[in-house]
Amino acid sequence: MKPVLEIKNVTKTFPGVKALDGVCLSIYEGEIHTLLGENGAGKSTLMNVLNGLYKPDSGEIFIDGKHNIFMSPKDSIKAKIGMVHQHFMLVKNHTVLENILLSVEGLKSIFNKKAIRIQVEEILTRFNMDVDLDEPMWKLSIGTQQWVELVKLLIRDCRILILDEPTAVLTPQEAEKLFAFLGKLREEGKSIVFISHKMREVMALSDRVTILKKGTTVKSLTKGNFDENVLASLMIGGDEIPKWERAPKKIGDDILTIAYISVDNDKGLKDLKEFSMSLKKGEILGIAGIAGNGQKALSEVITGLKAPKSGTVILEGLDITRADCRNSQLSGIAHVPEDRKAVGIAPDMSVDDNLILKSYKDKKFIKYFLQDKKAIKQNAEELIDCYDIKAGPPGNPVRLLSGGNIQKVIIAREMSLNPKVLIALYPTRGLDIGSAEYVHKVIIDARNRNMSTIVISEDLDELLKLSDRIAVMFCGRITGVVDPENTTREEIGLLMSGSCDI
Amino acid sequence: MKKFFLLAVISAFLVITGCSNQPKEEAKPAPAKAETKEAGKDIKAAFVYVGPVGDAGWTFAHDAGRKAMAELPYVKETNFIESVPEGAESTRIITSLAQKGYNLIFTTSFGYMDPTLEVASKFPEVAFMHCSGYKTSDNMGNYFGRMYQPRYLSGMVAGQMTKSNIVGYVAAFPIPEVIRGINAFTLGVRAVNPEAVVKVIWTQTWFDPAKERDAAESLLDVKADVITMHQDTPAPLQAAEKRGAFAIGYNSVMQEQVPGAWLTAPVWNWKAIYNKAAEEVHNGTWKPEAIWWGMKEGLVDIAPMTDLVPAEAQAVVNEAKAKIVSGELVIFSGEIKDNKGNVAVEAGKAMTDGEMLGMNFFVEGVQGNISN
Amino acid sequence: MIEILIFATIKAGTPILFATLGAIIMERSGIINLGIEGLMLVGALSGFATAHATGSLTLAILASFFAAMIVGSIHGIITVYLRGNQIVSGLSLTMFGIGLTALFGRSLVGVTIEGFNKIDIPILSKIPIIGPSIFNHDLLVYLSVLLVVLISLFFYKTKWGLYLRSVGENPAAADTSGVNVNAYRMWAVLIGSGIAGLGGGYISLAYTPFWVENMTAGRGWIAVALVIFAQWNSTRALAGAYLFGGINAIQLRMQAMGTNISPHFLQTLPYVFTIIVLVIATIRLEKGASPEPESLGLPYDREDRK
Ligand SMILES: Nc1ncnc2c1ncn2[C@@H]1O[C@H](COP(=O)(O)OP(=O)(O)OP(=O)(O)O)[C@@H](O)[C@H]1O
Ligand SMILES: [Mg+2]
Repeated sequence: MKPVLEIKNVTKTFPGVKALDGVCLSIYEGEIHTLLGENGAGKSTLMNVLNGLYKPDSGEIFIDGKHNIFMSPKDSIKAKIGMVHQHFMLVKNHTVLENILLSVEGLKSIFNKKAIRIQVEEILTRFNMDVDLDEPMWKLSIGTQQWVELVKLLIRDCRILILDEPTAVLTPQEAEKLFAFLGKLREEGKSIVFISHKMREVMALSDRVTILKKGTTVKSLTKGNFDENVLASLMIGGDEIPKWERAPKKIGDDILTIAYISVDNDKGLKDLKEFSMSLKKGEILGIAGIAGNGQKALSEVITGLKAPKSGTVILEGLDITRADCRNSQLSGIAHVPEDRKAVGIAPDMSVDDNLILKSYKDKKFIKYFLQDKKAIKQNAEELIDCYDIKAGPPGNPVRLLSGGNIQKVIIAREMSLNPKVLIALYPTRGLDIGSAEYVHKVIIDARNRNMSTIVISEDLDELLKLSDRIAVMFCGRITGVVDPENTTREEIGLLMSGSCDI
Repeated sequence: MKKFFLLAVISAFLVITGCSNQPKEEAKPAPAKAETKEAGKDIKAAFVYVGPVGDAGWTFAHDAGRKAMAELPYVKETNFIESVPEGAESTRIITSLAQKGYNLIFTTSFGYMDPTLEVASKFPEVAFMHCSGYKTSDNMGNYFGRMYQPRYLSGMVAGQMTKSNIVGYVAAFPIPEVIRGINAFTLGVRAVNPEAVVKVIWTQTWFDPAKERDAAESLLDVKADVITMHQDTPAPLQAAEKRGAFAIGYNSVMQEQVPGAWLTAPVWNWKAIYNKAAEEVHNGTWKPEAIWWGMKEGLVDIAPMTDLVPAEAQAVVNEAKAKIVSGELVIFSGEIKDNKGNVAVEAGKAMTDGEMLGMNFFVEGVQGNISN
Repeated sequence: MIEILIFATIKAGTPILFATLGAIIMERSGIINLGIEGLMLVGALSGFATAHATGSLTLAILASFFAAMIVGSIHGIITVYLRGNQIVSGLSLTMFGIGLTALFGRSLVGVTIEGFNKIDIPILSKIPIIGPSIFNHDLLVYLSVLLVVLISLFFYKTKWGLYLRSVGENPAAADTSGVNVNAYRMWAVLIGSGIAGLGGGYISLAYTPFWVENMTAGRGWIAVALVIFAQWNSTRALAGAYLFGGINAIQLRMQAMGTNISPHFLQTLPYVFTIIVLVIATIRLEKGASPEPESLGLPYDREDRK
């Protein structure tokens, strides 16, 4: 069989970084082809070359055996390649419909919104999706934004679909829906390039896996020739997966108490309804639940990003309900936010500066009223080394980093504050297995040293592994608290869907 | 954030617009008679202008004076810098002119007074002449003209031409110089037509043709049939012509632009003073004085009246002109009432120069507001 | 009286309206242009010179448009293709426009032309009050209002408008959808510059038909500020331009009528209004929304990550 798409010896260099170094890849008709590789291995870069965004330094691309040069995304669209980017390509101030219109091919000069609306609604019902097409994009949760990106892709006739970590921001249920649909597309003979760090998905979905490492192709394996261990060892090569051990549970006092918090969102609906909960010293409290059930509001209230309508937040006897961000951070709360690009970093600042974004006033980094560049640099070097951040050349703005590496920058910074309490939303989102394990280790080690953590995640495996207690959220309330050692996924699943007396 | 930055940049720019000007040298070929080697200094003169020389008004008139002066045999070079903002920027520009070796420097706007004074103290060899101010120093004189004299005469023209007995006056800012002009004009109007009133509109700008025109139009809307102005562009006069009213200009003759409406204008003739200063510096007799010349010395005049003004009316004006030149007619002499009915100048008395320079009331017959 | 006021308001607002519309088109594509004042002057001079040379007002207004467009293309090339700093380039454009027109305009000072005349729209101009105030203007006034409608339709009803807005918001999103970002930005700068040039042309061809240096007297800067006031929306630009024009017209006429309200106070009104509108608009805006094109002022580089 001849490949529909063939990439030969593609090389791409950015200032100070060789992102791709002679990569080869063949995609066949009707297959789901997974790209696997550590953070910063060059997966997104390669896909952006296919998308026509990045012009490769050298190398060739063949479509149906014909040599092809992509000068711009337009050429890639002509070759019927479609892509959902890791960091979305959405116009935040436009409505959902306008965003979709943008990618409609052959849109009439003076278009008929109604006709397209019908077409879009058809796709939405197929996915059982409930999106208001007239809602501005910025109001949508990241998960919903991901679906809009998918609709943008589907409304166009593509034969090669590239999905760069689509499941990172989807709930497990939504991911299932997506997989079922990808299966159908495969049957229609479409080729799908899929990127994910979640082994379980990779195993379930892939017809073929190609492993990238430091910008080179390590190996391509077809179904049947790989299992999770093979893939993992090929991916990390010689490196070891960090190991950690959980110290026996110490029951401490309450450190953080949340009582009767209510929060309304901008649609006037209740995000949290008289929410109460407490966190003990040295405990990891997992919060399970499908995204959109108030997790984000909860984290924002605790970190002071949002003032609740009623209720109190008490940290070690101190009322911090209305403390603003800096105050709450100073009083010892660290935060790994949901939307890393919008909230977590200052995109144009260097990696070094981002790593001290919250401690720039710390004496450590000040010398004669000025920033102490040397101390800042040293601090960065240490963290970059510990967390294995692919930071690029010195002074590299953080926005140029790969998705997983940005996430690592945030976690490294937050953990370096030595917080009393850590609020982490989806902390390992987009991290490769090695890095995810390392982050788990950091959190557990800190717990062993008596830090308290709230981990908000949809990944039950992660929660079961980390947590001392798991609270399940549904519709702005806690529907139950379980002990991870004496519970089942089914029990949590039931609580998550709200099938219980509230 | 971006917005504020933008606004800041805009306002900063408004302040600095025009300061990038380079001197525009107009050196003239060395005259053949240079060998005759008269005694005395060669003159290198520089002028600092507040507006563009193409403004057809104030700066234009000064530049005409400069060109005339450049004809003098011992004037080797004249040079001007236009559109120089008042304030700190002007200090820099005046300094650089002094450094370049100009030995006679004219600064032609009120706001250059202190900068000129400051620079003068650093260049004692250079003669500085500042226009329209009141300070002098060892090497800085000032000069201005009694523009109110021809203003009075042009008021006499307006008073005789108006049918509606309403004359419109488009004025820039309520400062003594402008107020003096309005008052003299009104006195002239009322001298020949006690029924007539002068309506004043402040535009609050020295330079905005569109706004000046709109101001004139609002005066025409309230039945003014003669329009005059203390502005630099012909815009108010065009408005008058368009509506069939008469126009009295200012600064220089703009008859060609409004042929159907043009009556006359009080005009500057800066040549008179520029030639004198050049000659004195050349001879070494120059002294820093405060010069306030009038029609007698020829610094100000009324432009020739057009045929639209009947001969009898012209005769009345010319008679008054002769009296002003001879000193028989003193314009701001009593009894003068202000426009609230109080006596401002008692009968038998005349205002001193100092009082005139600080004038801040309207005479009877003016409709308008100063204090606001 | 009221019809005179409305009439004067529209007239005074029109040059600012043209300039604001031009600026809106450019800024919607993501390009700030602080050179509007310079472009207006170029439009004013070239229109005037053409009218003087040919006697044709049609040619004159075309000259205003195309001359400003050609000069504006410098800003386009610098900011779109060379990714230069938009603020610096725009400021230079203003300086350039002032200098250029001063130089070439020298010989035209004192020259007269027959400017645009009022057109009575049949029937409509006979309606009391509205007739003489609204349907009794020169051609350019009607053109400016037509542009308001056209631009609004263009932005929200056409493909090109959607693409243009997307380019200004998130050029990468537009690019990956196959939209030629640079071409859209360049066209926006060209057309926007031309329209700003019409604003200058209105001053030298209709408002005060003569030429003096700098005759736009800062209206280009008011336009740049009005874009924010108008929240990048052409209909609001109309309201903003007429508000500025109107307050000016009213305060001059109040002086003419001898009322006692301070002209200083009236002069500050447009700015007070601007602040009030901005505050209200900000309060009414939902948290997180912004009427400002997100990528305004940022050059687009395909290989850069955002
Ligand atoms: N536009 C760019 N400019 C500069 N450097 C870049 C750019 N794009 C990618 N890089 C660098 O290229 C390398 C590969 O990045 P890439 O995004 O392809 O990684 P990835 O495999 O997708 O990682 P992740 O799993 O974290 O998404 C990184 O070191 C990154 O910093
Ligand atoms: Mg990636």
